[in-house]
Amino acid sequence: MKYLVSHDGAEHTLEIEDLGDGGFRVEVDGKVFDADFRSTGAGPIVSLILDGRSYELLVLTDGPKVDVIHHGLGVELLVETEREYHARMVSAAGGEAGEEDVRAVMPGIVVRIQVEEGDRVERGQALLVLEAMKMENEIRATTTGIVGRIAVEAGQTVDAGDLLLELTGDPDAASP
Amino acid sequence: MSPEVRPLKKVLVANRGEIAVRIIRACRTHGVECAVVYSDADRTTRAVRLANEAVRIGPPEARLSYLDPERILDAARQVGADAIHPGYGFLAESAEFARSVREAGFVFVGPSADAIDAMGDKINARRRMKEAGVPVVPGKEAEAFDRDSLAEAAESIGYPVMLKATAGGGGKGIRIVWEESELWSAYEQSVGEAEKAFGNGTVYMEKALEEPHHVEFQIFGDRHGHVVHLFDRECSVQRRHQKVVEESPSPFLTPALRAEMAEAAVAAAKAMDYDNAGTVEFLVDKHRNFYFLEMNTRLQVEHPVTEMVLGVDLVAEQLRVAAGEPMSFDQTDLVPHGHAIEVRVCAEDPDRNYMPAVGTVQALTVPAGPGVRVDSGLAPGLEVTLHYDSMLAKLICWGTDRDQALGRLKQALSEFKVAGLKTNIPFLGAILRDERFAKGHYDTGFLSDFQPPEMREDLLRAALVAAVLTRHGGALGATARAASAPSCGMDPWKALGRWKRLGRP
Repeated sequence: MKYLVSHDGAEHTLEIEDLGDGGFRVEVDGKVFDADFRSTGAGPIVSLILDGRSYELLVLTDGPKVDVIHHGLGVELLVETEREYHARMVSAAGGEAGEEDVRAVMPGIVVRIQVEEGDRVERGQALLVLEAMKMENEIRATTTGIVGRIAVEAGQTVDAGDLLLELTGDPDAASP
Repeated sequence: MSPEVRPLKKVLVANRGEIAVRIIRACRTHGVECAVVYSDADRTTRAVRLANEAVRIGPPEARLSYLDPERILDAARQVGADAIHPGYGFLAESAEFARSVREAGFVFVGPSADAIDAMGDKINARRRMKEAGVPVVPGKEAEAFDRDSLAEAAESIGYPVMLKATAGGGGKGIRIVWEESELWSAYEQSVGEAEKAFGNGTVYMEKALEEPHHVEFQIFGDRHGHVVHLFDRECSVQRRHQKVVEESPSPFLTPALRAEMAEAAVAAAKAMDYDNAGTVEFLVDKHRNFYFLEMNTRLQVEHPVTEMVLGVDLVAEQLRVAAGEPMSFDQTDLVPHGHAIEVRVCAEDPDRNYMPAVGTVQALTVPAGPGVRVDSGLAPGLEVTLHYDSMLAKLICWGTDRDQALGRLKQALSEFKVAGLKTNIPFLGAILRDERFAKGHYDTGFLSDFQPPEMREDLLRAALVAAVLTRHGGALGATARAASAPSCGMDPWKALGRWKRLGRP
């Protein structure tokens, strides 16, 4: 089975052959390795022996997004089957520009809203202030545009990923 | 002035997390009974499990539990405690709380309310330090600024300037401003944050120094008139004005400068008639001029690095001094040995600009070994919420010299694994592997232009293989699969992916 892994702009091809009982033959960018891969019984902490070299890793998956932490360092990877990879390439080509939802990047409390519906805002302008653990964090516009619907009000508690407001790209604005 | 000695029999710990565990350990080590308070969010935490007694004080919201003085005092009465240890944060630097604890007949494990008052207001603290002959950073103090007076003050001091909450601490309410266009909105944010965090929105302005180092001195006093310093800690690795890595001794100080600063720290403490544990923080610019920054009238998060190089137990010493006894050491007893470095492990999401992360600890591997110390509130099942600080644990390593301490810390950190929520462990690992950090050449600007080092090729390859095999779902041997598969028959690897979303409503 073939997978494509993106890391920091680079792409790697991995081909997996399952030999059973935790054993695998793995081809990484054309080079072949023997892998012995086991759960440790402690959730996402896994043990890998790759051509005799032993690694303990923390592997956190969220669909194709995989974070791997070991040796005190971390990498963020996108692991896709060939089909998933090609599907993503197609959808990326047809993406819409100029419209975006501004979402909470962290759970917190909306302290104040610094714009009104219909306002024209510049890229980088402060839209609202979100507080988490007593720190205030300014949420800024990532594009120049017009503020559409504001979905929250001051004092409201929000979760990561919640819609804060809609921002529509301004046709008169120079594209960044 | 010989104070009455009143041995402590039972201490109420008015805190949570790793510091509550730390204080409970000191109490139990010295045969003192201890009770801990807890909110509904903390019923199953390690502190509650390790204490002799535990008292529920309210809902998760800090202001209705850990920040409510009446609930703390009621808890102390309920268990018949004779002393209250506030830890750090929460009520630790509230003079009013210290006063009401003593008025209610309990021992407050900390300095006098007057000292807390004097140092808690940063404008007042600057004034007191100037009088004591301790150098302070050039700055402007005002009850409130308007747009004009703010711009004028910044102009006269010279950009960049710092805005700071007078009641501040922990990096809250601090903004650095590089030009006038940013000044007013930064001021408003700083005031807003200060009001929320401290109930006092007064903000003052200070000159931002060139390549400053944050170096602090641990001091200690007792009620028999003794004041000593316990040497320095370098705390220049900071992000958003929060300390991330601390070490002792500072790689930046020369012996002559260390002696001069130690003398100033002791003078500062003596000017306050200080007793119990405190910290005098200084900024040292690249020309090695030093300025008083602030004095923290409590135990510091980073106190373990001092304990490691001096072989003292600061919490036990706090209890001893609070009971009215003299300190167990004098200045000549305090001879530093070796080097210690601490990293703060926090629940933070590197994908979201290191914002606080939430989740439930699903699996945990805690490091050990020679010279390795872990002060931690972590346990499997711990729910990390947004109600409290994001710090989960401190990892401290000691070595006979800095290289050995750093080597041990890198190894220990690579063994430290927390699953179920995002942590800053990879970020800490990257800092420790940075060439400038390894040489000890860093100031408070270190993290602003920090680039994490690349992962070594063989390590990256192992990560790729582990990631793919995890997605492939082939990791589990037959027995492990049977043991860990959820009863509903869901793919265990899909379940793992969902773990990090657990704990969110």
